[in-house]
Amino acid sequence: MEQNDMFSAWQEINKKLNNQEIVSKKTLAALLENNRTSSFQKLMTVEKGSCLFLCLLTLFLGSIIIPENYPMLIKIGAMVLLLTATGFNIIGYIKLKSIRFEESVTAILKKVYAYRQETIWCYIVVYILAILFSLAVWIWYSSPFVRILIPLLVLTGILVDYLIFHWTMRNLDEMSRMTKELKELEER
Amino acid sequence: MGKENEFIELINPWQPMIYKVCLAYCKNKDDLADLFQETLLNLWSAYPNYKGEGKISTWIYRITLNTCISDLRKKKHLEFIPLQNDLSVYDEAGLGEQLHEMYGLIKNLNRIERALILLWLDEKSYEEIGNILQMSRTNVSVKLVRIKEKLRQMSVY
Repeated sequence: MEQNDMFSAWQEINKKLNNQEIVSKKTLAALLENNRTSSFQKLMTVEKGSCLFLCLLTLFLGSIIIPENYPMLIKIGAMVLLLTATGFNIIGYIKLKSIRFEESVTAILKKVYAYRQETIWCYIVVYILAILFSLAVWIWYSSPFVRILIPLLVLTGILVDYLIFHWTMRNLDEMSRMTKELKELEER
Repeated sequence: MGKENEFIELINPWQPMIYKVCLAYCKNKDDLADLFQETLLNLWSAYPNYKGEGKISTWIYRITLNTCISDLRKKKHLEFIPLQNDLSVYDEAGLGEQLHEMYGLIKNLNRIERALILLWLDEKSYEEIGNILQMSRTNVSVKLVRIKEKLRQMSVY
């Protein structure tokens, strides 16, 4: 396809769309009036919600676990796990919040890349900590109930992990594509 | 409602432009409606920060392209908003052969390259393209030469 062909094709679409309303003013007004938010804003709400939830969970469980007579290793393990998960979530939310669509494309890509990377690291670190913590609980408590419960929980975790793995892989592909594009963009 | 009306009046003449950009980044008709709506909502949320400095087209282009390029959408579709029925541009039958071929080629480019070629097709100057994508004029011209060559080679094979 030659450049001239591309321009004439472009004129064709211009002709088709010229002065057309893609979405009627009425629909657009309803869209805004209904206070609809973009997926990006919804993602922010989810991140914000999970930050709040994890903060409250950390405070709640912390207030229960710390005063009790549990082994120190279990107390420290539980708190490290909860604080790490909360910390990662807060960082993710801050990274997402820093994205402004009116910024430059390089800035946006860098922030999206950082956010995705942080999310992947969050899953990796938190899952490793969760498995280590479960293992510590399993070793420490010899009651049959705990010995059955822990492998069941770990198994559920692995199943969830399996689903997360695909999601993570999609993100990883996205990240490598983004890195490549960023590199190309910065080339002079 | 005043601010909403103001925004609608501002954005309305630019709907075809937003549509043409979204068309180059979507996978199918539903995705197109999704991306179009996502762009409108991002424009609306960025509107309070719009100070009226510079060209309105630069602001709209930047947010539209950033929405399409960053692809921060969830995979689940947004609640559907109807696009006008008389426009069947996405359907193969509604596209002219040349137009169909052109979008096919554009979709083989990466997301930044697509943005550059769309702006070039819209006859934006290198300065304007650089302004929208915040790249230097030299970078824009070098990249456009490469992209045009890439497109030429793609259409040969």
